[in-house]
Amino acid sequence: MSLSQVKKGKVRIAGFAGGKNFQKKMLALGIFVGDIVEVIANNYPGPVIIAKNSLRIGIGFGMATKILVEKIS
Amino acid sequence: MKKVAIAGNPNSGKSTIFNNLTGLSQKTGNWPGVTVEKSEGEFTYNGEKFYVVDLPGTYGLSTFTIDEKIARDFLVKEKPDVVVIVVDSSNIERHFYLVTEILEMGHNVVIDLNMIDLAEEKGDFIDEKMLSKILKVPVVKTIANKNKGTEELKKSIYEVSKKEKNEPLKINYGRDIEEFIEFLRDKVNLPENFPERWAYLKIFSKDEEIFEFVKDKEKVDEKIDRIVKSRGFPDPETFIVEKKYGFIRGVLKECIKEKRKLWKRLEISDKIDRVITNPWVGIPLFLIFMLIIFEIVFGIGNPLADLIDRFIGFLNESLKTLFARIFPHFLTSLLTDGIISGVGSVIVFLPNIFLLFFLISFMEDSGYMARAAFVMDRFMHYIGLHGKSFIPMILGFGCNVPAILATRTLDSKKDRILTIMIIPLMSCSARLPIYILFTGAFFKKFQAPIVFSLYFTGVFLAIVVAKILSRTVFKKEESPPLIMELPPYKKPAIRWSLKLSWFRSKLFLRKAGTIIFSAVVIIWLLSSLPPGVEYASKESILGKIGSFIAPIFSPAGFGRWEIAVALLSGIVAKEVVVGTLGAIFGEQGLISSLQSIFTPLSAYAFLLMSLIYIPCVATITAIKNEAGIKYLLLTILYTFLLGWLLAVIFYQIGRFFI
Repeated sequence: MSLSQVKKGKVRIAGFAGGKNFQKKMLALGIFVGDIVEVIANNYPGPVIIAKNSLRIGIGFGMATKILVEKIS
Repeated sequence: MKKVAIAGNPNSGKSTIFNNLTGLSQKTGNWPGVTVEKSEGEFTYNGEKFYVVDLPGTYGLSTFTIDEKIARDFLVKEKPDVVVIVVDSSNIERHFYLVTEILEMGHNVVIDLNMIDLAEEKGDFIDEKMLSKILKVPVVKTIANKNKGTEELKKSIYEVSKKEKNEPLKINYGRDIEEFIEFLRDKVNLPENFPERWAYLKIFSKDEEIFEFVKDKEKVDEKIDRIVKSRGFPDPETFIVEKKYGFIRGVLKECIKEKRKLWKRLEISDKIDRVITNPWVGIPLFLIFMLIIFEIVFGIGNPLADLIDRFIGFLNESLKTLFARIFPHFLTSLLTDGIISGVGSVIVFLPNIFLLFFLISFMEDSGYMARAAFVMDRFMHYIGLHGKSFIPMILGFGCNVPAILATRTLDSKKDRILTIMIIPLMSCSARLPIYILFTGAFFKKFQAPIVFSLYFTGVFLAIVVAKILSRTVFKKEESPPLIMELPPYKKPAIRWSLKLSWFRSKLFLRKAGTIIFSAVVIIWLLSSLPPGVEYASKESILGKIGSFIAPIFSPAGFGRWEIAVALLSGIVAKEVVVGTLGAIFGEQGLISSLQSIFTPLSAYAFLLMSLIYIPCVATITAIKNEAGIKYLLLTILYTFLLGWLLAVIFYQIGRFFI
């Protein structure tokens, strides 16, 4: 499932399907595979805002479709 | 003189720190070969002089953006005596990534915990003494936008510059990495004085540039893959990054005390964001903000500019009568119509530009600008532009000059230059007098729709040109992915914004002033020489040039010297087209003269030409400063060709029907 499909709640980042620049950018911002993030806002098909602790990151729709996530039970 | 480099993430307040340190001694230019702005300056502390360079804002020191490459090359090759790393204290964990990278290089570092007030407001209290003890470098707290802590920073820079070279920071990446580094020692040919450990770690991350120094590439490559695989990471870079963050978290845990207020602020911020990112609310809200900006920049700015304009006009007339008694006619005209008008045409931009800079820094400071980019992104992507390009484009309707300056908010070079190149197609308010004159003379009943059609044509062409450029000239350059940190909303610091805008405006006027001024004087000279001719008449040099180029415009239906002269003088400022026509035909008979020269068909062709052809001198200067001479020439060329072509096609096709 991609991040763009998550309306709200907490998910675990399972992987990045985008190119190298995209992956590096996520790393530079401090988002890693395995991190648990909360979806703050998602107006499909639009940008997604996620939260990791006190950090808020906006992700364009195109990029959000390339972030793979899994629900946490 | 000792060399000081200022490094830091984007939005760390780095440039403000730089301004505080260097005051008015700074100069700006570009880094060699690229359009990234380079600011340099100086300051003196305790009798010692320091040369300061503001490095581009970067998150790390890999080489996947120009900014990072510039910063890294400077640190490695120029070997500054002191590196000040500016950190946003309210976002300390993320900003410390760059700190560890630079510390690993072994520079003499001063860590500047900037925006310390925001961190404390969030509830983070940072023990700078502890931090300094762990990292073995001085740590200074500052609030750049209130100019607090600048003296302490200067003192630390001074002290650090006296010290021996710092030992590179050693983060424990685990036994296999240390073994790998030992293994590398005899397999790498590093240039002299290269930061060794840092370079080995970059080799492990398979940094393309540094990997070139490896002798036995295949063997090393294989070894890296084995280590990464055995530790279960997708690639070496992730491995290093995670270890670094682990180290950072460990350090910060020791130095940060309790959090309180932040969550309250985040809660409010999140609520606003949920509403703003909803397209049904976000886009109209954005348009309303744009309208307000437009109203302030031009609604308040233009009357002020008019006031300046009228004052210059008054000064001009008064001095003219005064000088006429003392000087010969030619000299009087040079001093008034040439020089005073020239100076006036520069100062007249001040109100618009100052207001624009102020509003932009206000929006950026409040946190809204970052959100606006997301709101408009999907729409702008269709035409190959970035979400943030929308703001400069809208401003272009008022005046192209502030619009071009507003592209500074765009991060990637491609987006910035592309946007700059299409801004001249946005019909600015200086072109309106031409539309009004001609629609009044030829399309009395349809004035509004004809004028609207011109604005619409401009926007339509901008979209087409953007599409074409992004598929040809900028084909290879990819827009960076739209992922941004969204700091919680905050109350903008107005006094600081005012100061910054004033500073930026002055810098612009100083840079643009000379070119605009020279252009006005040159056009004045061409119109008044040889001595004794009527101003801008057929016998003047300008008139002769006009006669010479007029045939070019014959296929568009207006191949007369008067029109060519008007278009030429319009390069000084678009509204001058009307003034020149008035001077040539006489103010009274202007409309009837135009009606005898033009048909409605050729009049509209002329309007298309006026809309599109070569931008005015002030715009030309702005393009040169922001994008460089190459893209300026390209813009002049394409706008002229496009304007001419459209006028000709319209006229020739129209002739079949009328």
